[in-house]
Amino acid sequence: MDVKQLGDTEAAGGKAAPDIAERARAGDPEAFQAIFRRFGRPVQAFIYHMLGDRSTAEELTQETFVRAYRRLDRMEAGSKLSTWLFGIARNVVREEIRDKRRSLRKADLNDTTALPLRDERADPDQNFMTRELQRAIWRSLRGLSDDQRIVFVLKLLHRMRYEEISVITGSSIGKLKTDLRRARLQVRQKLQPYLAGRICGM
Amino acid sequence: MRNVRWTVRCYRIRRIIEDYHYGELKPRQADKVAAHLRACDSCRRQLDLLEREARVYEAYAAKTENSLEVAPDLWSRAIEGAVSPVRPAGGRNARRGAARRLGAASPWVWQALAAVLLVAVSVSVTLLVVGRQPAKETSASQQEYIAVGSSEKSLEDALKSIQRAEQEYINAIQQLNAIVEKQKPTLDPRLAAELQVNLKMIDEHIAATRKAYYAHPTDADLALLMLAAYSRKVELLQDLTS
Repeated sequence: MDVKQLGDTEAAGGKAAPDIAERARAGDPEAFQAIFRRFGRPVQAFIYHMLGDRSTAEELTQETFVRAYRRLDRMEAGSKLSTWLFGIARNVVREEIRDKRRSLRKADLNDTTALPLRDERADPDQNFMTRELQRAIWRSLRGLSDDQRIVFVLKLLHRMRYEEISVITGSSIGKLKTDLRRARLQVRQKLQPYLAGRICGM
Repeated sequence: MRNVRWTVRCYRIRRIIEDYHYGELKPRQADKVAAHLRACDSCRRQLDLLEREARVYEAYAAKTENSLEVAPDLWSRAIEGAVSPVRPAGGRNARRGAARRLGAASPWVWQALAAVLLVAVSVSVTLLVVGRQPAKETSASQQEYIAVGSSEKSLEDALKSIQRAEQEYINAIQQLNAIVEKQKPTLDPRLAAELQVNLKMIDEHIAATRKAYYAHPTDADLALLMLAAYSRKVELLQDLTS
């Protein structure tokens, strides 16, 4: 199956995705490679948005796909590939955060160097999304609880539906809505100084 | 009275305005919200704010995602990690300790392995030069390519190198297998059972990648995948005979 076709069918409700998953499960490396080509970047972006570190995001993307490959036989028929993969990525991220917290137990959680945003390749201030604003958004994300951050990232940055996020996180839709509302208000408050001149009404 | 009614209505709308913004409401409910928004400036401003914020987050997501590159070798690393045998209980050191009991392999084994690695490295380099560069400029669906024109000779060489590397791997595996078989009785029964499971898993992967590669012999990724599978088997056997 063509990679774009795979992406399109996923977006359209994932009806053809079980076929590619089935083929991957049967040991067809081409099918698994197609899955990687389609979802490698979004998964890496998700991990980056959660942790803010490029090299860690790359490493954990690799780990996510290693686990996905090994667990293909455990993927339930009818599951959507994207939510299944993001679910694995979410577990990988949680483990990373847990390990990091253990090693940084005594570190100042507000220390911006603890989980730095490395964005050396970002363009200079050419539009409203300045590097300063990007850093401010990242700092605001870091200030959220893990539950709030994941729903914020998946809903507002990856534009997923509550139903999908619920599958990925295992949380009820009610909890997700509450977490998102609190997260959004908290981020809005922190971004106010940066956006006041750019977004009227803030 | 009118004001009170509007306040209650607004309160209800504000509770679902985010869902409306995210497109998560049922059509009938969404229609009701839309009708209210047409008549209420205050709620309309609330929605505008959500929309403006959404544009900021969207731009942030796009900016960060676009600046991320999936490393070219990430796929190979992922698949190599995926086909690595599952470590036996007790971890890497336990497996090494058990493996040491097998005794050292003959020097000719190391010579054979060194030759295999040299072939594999040369194949990887050739494939990267011949195959990967054009793939970068084509769409994902075109990544299964056939080199044309001036690259034909190089492609032919690459295909021969792949066959040679595969043969070298097969030879090395046969030789290492013979040593492992001979020394198997000295193996811890649990380790021997785990070895069987791991070898079976790798053999299945070799068969699958081989089938895929020979169906598309000019696909560099599939060639590397197949050689990586062979390589894992050599590594495992090498580990046991070291």
